[in-house]
Amino acid sequence: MNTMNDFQIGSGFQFSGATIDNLEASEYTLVTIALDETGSISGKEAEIEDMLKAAVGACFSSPYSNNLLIRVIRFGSQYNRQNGNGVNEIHGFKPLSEIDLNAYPALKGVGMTPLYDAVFSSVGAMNTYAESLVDLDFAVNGISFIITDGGENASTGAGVNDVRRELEKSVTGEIMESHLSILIGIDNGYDNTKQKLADFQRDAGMNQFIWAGEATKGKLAKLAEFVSQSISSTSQALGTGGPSQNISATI
Amino acid sequence: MNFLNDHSFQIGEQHLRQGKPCQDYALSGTLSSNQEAFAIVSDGCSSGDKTDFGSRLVTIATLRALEEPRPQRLGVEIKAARDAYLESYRASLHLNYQDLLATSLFAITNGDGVLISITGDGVIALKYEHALVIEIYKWQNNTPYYPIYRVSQLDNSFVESHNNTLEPFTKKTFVMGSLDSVQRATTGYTVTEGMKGVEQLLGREHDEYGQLQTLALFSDGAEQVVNVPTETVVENLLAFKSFSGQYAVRRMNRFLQEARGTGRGPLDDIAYAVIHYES
Repeated sequence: MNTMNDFQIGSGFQFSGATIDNLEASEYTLVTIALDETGSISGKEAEIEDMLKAAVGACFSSPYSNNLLIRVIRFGSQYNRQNGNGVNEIHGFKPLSEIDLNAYPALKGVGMTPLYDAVFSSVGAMNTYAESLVDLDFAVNGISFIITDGGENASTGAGVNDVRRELEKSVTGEIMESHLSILIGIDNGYDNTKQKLADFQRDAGMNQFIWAGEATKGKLAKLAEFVSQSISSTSQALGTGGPSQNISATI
Repeated sequence: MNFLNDHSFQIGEQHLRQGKPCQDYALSGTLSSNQEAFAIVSDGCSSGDKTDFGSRLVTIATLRALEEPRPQRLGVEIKAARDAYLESYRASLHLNYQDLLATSLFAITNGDGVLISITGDGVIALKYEHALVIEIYKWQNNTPYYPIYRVSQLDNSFVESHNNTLEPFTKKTFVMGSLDSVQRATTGYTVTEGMKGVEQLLGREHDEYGQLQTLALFSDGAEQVVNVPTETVVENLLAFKSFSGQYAVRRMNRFLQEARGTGRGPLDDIAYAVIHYES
């Protein structure tokens, strides 16, 4: 049995999601984690991989673990030649029980930062998949994490207006009950990165910008904890009609 | 024949406010190595005692009775077996009869025909190719007959409580055709007829309405959704967009969410069990 289906978002972006007929629960929290895989993370790849595994792994102990569908993507200009416009899907929206953390690929930091493409893919895929679920009476909310250490400089598929439109759609309540978009900045040593990311968060209309500071082992461990706790809060909020509460704004 | 079954039950506004549990229960599934499908619904009496147990035990007793191998599916035999299980559960759990005041609706089908039985009150819905047939069963003064009355030899008191009315048990039938036409009919039953319960043995093919596609049993909570007529509640709860996974749970959740937007939602607990024949 084919357990995943392919979907298309406008502008040539593609994603995959679990076959809806095979889903057994009546409500789901959609989660997207987008990881920067550009040249500036070079040397920190292993720590970022560990952070991803810790964040997703911690969701297994959530009381709502059966109600999570998680998508993980990575972005970098090295993927521009593929269909995903600077985005490579590690796996589409998948029940947690079907995710094999050991199968996550090794990251290799090269290329530039298609940040618009990454956010567009994250939120656009979530809107499209959520719409399919809601049409079949599933209750759905969502949370997206975009983890990057650099501002936009390489998108080929989406502009900031495309990103803003998808983000606006995601919070009207017509598709998902609620959607929280969080931009997490990692310090790459350049002075203006924090400001550039803060400006992008404001211009695009993302809900939160969190500056995580340097990509040390300790900071990345805290980041993993933040991601898993935010996922847990979001799934607890499902059914209340509102967004999750008490998501810490610092790491 | 492949059956797609699901069921859902939700607490009503009154029990929520009064700190009482949901006293409705429903179950669905397949038997005989998937050759048969069943749907069971039970509604515990609000003024009884621990009738949340009661509705669950009536449901489980019915399931055990349906699981017993029989050469023929006869309602009278299934009900007798159900009542024997019920008495055995009551005795072993040291419950009293007030704990088991709960209705019993069940349906069992092999794909060619279906046996439907109702003891107490509730709603039966049969969705054919060309019509939706809704039957609403009601006892006067909201005092339905419960299987435990027979088990506890309380039939005489029940008869006395209804002896002023010729036909205290009624069935209202709505047939909603494909051209939005609605036919209505009412049938009355004497107290003795009502206590026997209503049984229907139907073929899947109806001369006028075509093939039966979906059947559903509802507790009387379907009649108590604020500002929504029963027929509309039933129609909405059967408006499935797919029959995958927990389809009845999803439909119930969405319907109640929308109903609460325009009124107070269900006053009473509400339950339904569905069998869909996959084409």
